[in-house]
Amino acid sequence: MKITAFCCHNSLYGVGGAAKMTKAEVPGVHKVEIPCSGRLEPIYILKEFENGADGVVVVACPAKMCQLIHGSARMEKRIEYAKKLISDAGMEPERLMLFRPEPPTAPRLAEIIEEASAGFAALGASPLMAAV
Amino acid sequence: MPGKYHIETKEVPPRFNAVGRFGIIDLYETCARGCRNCVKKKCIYDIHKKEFDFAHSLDRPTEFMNECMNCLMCVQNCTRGALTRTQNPEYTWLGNEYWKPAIIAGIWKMAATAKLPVSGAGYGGPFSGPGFDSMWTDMSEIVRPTRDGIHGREYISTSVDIGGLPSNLEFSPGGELLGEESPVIELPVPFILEVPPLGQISKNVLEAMARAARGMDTLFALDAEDAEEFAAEFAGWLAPRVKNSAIENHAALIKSVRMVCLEDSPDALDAVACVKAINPGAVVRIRLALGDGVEARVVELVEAGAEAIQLSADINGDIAYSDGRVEFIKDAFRRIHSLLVDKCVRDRATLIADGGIAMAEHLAKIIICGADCASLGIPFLVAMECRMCGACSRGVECPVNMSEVPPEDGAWRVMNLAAAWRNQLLEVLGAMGIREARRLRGEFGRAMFCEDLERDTFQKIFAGA
Repeated sequence: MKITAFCCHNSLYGVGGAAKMTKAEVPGVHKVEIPCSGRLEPIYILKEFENGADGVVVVACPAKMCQLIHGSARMEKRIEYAKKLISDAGMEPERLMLFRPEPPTAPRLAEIIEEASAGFAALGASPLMAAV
Repeated sequence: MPGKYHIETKEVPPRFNAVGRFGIIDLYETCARGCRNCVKKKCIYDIHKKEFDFAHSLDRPTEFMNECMNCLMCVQNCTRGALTRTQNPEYTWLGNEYWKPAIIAGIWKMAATAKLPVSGAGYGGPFSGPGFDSMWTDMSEIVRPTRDGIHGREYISTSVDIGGLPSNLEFSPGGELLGEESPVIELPVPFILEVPPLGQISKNVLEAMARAARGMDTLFALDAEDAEEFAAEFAGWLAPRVKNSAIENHAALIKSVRMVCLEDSPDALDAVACVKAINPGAVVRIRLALGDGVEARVVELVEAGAEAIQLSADINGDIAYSDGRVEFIKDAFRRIHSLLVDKCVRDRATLIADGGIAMAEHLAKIIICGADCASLGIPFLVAMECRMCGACSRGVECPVNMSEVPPEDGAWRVMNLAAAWRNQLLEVLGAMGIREARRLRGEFGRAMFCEDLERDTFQKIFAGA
């Protein structure tokens, strides 16, 4: 399974917590740390699918805990929009998963990815790549 | 008149998008869509358009462009407050507590363009800090750009000699020089290249460094087994690191090189004699790890005839002692240099500094502290785009695929960085009124040390001495 995880930095380590923790990594997963989930736009998600990802995971803060106040809420709308675009392209919208656990998420990131990859495994390989 | 020494440079863009520091979060759902005063179009660096093109480019992988120049014009002037400037988290993960992200980003810029990175935002930091930051160089000479510095008409030499000089010369009654001449290597830059102790060191990386050493006419220290591979093409610029027990196995290689590197051991001087028996014209460098009792060992080696001694700290320039004390490399060099001067044997051997040299100013500072030259590995690895993320040591895939660095481009990037550092060294020397890097060695009087100033100022007040 080729999985990409877009992770909000504050969600992973809590605010200012990165200095006390080691960088969260999950072997075999392309993890992209972003300063806030509001930085994520549908184009980045679509490009990951285009590049052959079987599933994309977004790890963000709960809406009320977003340091940028509206970042997480805006991201949720963008995820909905991206799911619609994926669906229109003939892929299952479940290939895009959103997780919003309470920060810090870094110690539990592997569990989150495992849960997501179980879901992606049920869907099988990306039909986009099969078509190619 | 011989031509001025010059390091050739060539602009080499990075293979991977460099990790930038600042990015803009655009909560475009908040946008009024028609205020006709869009700050994104007014960005003087055109960052918003560049980022749009960058994100929508089909030939790029999913990457975020973090090249915001941090002017905050768009953030302040957007009437709907839709934009926020943020720091790229990947930037904060670069390097470690010593090799700070700003140092790594600076090296990347110099390696790509050979130009010095200039930031116009002013310096808001403290005046003093740990390590080399507690040392201020005297740059009080009046500098005239037409006379001094990089483009000045007066030549400032950065050449250094590696090898020992005899303390006196003896002549026969007929006027002939008695005794053997000791070999000396003249390098046009005060550093040699060395395989760094970390990172993904592929064959391509080694070849790039060997090419760069040839391009700059300096030396590249690497393991003898690797050196055998490159000896046919680069022998004159290689300094193989030979195990004391394997000298005979590499006899052919030793015959063809100018410098051989050995590790310190109780039989180090016997090993030196073995190397000299194979190639009397080679300078032999002995490497010692700085730590307990190293001063006495250095004096012993120099008095016994060692020509070049490399003193190594860890990559951050720290030296750990058995009593738990940690000392920075510059302090150890000041002490060892002074000790050798007191013993009247300083010129008998070359001292090479290794560890903690991350910026051009560190090179000038370590020479002031008593080193003849430095051995540099990590800066040149970073020049080839290494992020010092430690992924290779954790078994994670290298984000910049160091194993596939094109040797030619890698060599250009190393030479670009070296040229930028040398230019900075020329400016420092020019501003000090010194015309030769050799003359800078051990010039403690041309620098101020924060710890000395604090001791002189406050000890008599608080300690009564």
